[in-house]
Amino acid sequence: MTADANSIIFCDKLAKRYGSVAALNDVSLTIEPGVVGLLGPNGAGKSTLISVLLGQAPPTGGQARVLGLDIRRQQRRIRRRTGFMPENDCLIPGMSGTGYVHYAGRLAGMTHADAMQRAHEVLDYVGLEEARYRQAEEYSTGMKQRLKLAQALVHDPDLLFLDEPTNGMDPHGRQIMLSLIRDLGDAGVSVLLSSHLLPDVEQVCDRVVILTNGDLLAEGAISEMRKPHPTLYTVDYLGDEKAFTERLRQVDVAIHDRVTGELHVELPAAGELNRVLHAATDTDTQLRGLHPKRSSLEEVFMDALKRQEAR
Amino acid sequence: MSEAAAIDARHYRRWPGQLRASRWTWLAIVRQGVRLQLREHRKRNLLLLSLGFTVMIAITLYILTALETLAGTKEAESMIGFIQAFLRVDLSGITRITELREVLWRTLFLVISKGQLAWVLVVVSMIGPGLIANDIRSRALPIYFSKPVTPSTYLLGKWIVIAIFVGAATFIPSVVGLIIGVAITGGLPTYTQNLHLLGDVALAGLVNMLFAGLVILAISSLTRDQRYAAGGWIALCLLSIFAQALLTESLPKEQTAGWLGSISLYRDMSVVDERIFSVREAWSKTDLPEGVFNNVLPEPMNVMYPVSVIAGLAILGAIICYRRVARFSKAAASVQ
Amino acid sequence: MKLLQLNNLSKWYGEVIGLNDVTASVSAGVTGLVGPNGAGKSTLMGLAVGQLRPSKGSIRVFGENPWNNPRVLGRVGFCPEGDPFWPNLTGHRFVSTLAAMSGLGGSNRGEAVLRAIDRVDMREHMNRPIRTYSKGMRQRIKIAQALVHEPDLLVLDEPFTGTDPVGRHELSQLLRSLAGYGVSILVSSHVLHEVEALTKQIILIDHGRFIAEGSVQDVRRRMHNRPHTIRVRVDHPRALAIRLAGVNEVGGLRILDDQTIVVETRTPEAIYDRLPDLILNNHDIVYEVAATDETLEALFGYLVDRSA
Repeated sequence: MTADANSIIFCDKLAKRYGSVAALNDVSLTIEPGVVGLLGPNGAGKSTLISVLLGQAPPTGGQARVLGLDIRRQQRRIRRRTGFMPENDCLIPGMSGTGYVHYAGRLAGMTHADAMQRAHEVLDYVGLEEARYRQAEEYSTGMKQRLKLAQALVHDPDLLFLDEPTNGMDPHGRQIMLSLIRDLGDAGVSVLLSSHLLPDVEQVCDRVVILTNGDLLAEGAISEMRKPHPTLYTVDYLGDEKAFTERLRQVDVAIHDRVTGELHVELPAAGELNRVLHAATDTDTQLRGLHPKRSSLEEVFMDALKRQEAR
Repeated sequence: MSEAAAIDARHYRRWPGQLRASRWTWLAIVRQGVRLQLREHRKRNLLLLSLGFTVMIAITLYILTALETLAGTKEAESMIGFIQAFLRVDLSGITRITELREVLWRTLFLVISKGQLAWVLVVVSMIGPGLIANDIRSRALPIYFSKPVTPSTYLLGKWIVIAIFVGAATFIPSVVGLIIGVAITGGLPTYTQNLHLLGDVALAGLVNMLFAGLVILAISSLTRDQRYAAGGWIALCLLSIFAQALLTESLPKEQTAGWLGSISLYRDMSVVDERIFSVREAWSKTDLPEGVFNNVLPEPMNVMYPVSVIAGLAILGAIICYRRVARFSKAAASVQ
Repeated sequence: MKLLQLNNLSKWYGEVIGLNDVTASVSAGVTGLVGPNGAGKSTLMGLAVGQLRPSKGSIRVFGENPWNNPRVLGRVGFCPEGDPFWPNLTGHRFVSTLAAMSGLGGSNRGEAVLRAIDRVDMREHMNRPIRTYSKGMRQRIKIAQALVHEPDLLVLDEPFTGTDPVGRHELSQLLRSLAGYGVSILVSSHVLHEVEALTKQIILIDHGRFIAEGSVQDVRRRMHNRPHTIRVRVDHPRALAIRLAGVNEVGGLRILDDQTIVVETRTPEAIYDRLPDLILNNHDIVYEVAATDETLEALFGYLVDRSA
């Protein structure tokens, strides 16, 4: 395995042990530019991986490159080209939003003028308007999260590490954060997004990396991992349940489960959904939805974990 | 989700600029650290109060100069009385005050620097404890160590912050006082004669900065609550003085001359300062009787002991804060 | 009788409004309480479990006022947000201490505590200190604490926050099984898809005000001012579009790709009624029919839109 010049992250048998505990177990992977999800249960090694890639904790084995730079010898250059948004609150008391982001820019090596100009630009970008002049510790959860993102963005990194960026946010704030992440990806900033909220990952990521107990469990495009089930459907309807289900059975549509107004059905073959249409028109049932069943990222994740346990 | 859409409409723009070399990042830490401290009124007042030393120096030097010009008159007699009270030195019989100028000035700066030791205790207990503890508490360290900042850069920046404040409380008032004194006395001879005092004051200030700075950084790195750090610092200084006093009371004098005599940090620093200003040496060159100056000077002792204690504590402090911060930097991304 | 009945219920803290003139009712079963931060969810829960007293209006739980009412409180279990205090206690000690504090009798307390711990499947871990627990386990032990006196109503404030997917999955299973035993549950959460998977019965509040209640579809149907969009995937979308253009109720049509059209309408019922015939008469094959915005997430976006 060789480092692809284009890859943002390249690990070859990367290992990190704390005493006898293996936090990362010979992880080998190559990640291409884009928005990538990093999944795994608590203690899977996600934070350790980020820490090692940022050159903070030296690995105990193997090697890795971030943006083509060696994590052991080129830590400073890596950190100049990456941004990190920690999971926890990390605000410095007594600083305004602007002061904080400006300071982050200065730490990254920007001049005073550059840092000030960029601080205002990224604060605009994340949608912190007048609040930027207020003390950051007065911010709401959602505003703090956006400030943390601004702090990671100020020096225009090529790769962002985001650790649980939507944790504790309300749905509205989460949507804002997710659309920012997606937009960053479109602007050519690669993102490694660690999150427990799989629908969020599903919404913004192209690919995912799944870790458990320090092992690489799965890696790939989300669209390929989510298997469609071409014969399984959920049917929303309004009408006489008994008549409708009976008719469905007559046309060889199996019914697996039923809740009020909702049936989980299996067709005899793919592309045979018209049978349901016929059954509905025959029994004067109103169809309100025909949803093909696809495994969600949640199911992919749980399945992967189960396979791991079975081994 | 129209707000999300509104933000979408303002797409992210890449920044074409260049970063500076990362070796200057400590400067950013210093600037931010000093600005954050100066935002508090009581800390600004602290620096203002430090100028009290300048006033003391200026007044004393003015009096000494006046004494020189008034030598032998009745006014001079009463002024000598005042100085005796102030320096707690028996000056009866001194007539050739001009010849004693150098030694008197040295003594004055030693007295001032001993007063400043107590002041350093106060200043450091207000400025220093939060320097690292607050970053641990607010979990801001991952921000530093996700940027091109190493533990040494971080500590260098933090040390310069405390050094600036210690310097502003000790070195600067003394230097200003010296300049005013030279100006009052007038004439180049005084200036050249006392030029070495400038270096001495700087050296004494540097010892303060190194010792107090490194020790408070170590204490600050050991806790996430700056009140504990402040308490620890004050306790360290005061307990060492009390312990020494207790030992001096209960043990024979021979035993407290060596290591046991170096427990009090205040005394250690006084001994070092006395050496820096070489007051005893200057006095011995005069024809004054032995013992006249004993109230001002620390008891004579081998300077190796206090120097080892101070240097040892400073080095230990440096090691402790480096190890603590390095540990945090390694776990920056992990849950703390 | 309704489980919860709120009549012009208001609660303010000094000048800060927690809940503002809410009139609503909740029936037995599982109910999701959603709203942005600061919407008043925790206030509503505090009022329901008798920890807070209404500033104005009334709240009835099982038909009675919960404030200072042991009869009601004995039937309600509450699981507040945040970590259990005393992280050094073992799970078992934590539950039994709280049970003792809430005045549960001495002789059968031990038995009740174990039963509650079994309910949340924590017996294996009950002798370990809480600080060694994962987020999901902490939530479960907190739920055990609320279950000791076998309440008929369980109130849970943000139980999913911070849990990993595995913990969340187990928690959902637990809540489902509790509901299966006949326990009513009022649960608040920001994790909307989890709420949606748990129940169809939703209460939405914002800025202390009641916005909507009912199933997602019901609420969506009642929002007349927003046109509905229905996505249809068939083999010949253009042919179907031509047919649909002739239907009066169709307000707009968009062809997204060579399989998908999106129909815009203010009366989706009419479209649903006509669609099967149109497809079958076209000799077309259907793959999907879906309202694009009948999700809790979309609804939430519409109803608590701050910028509008």
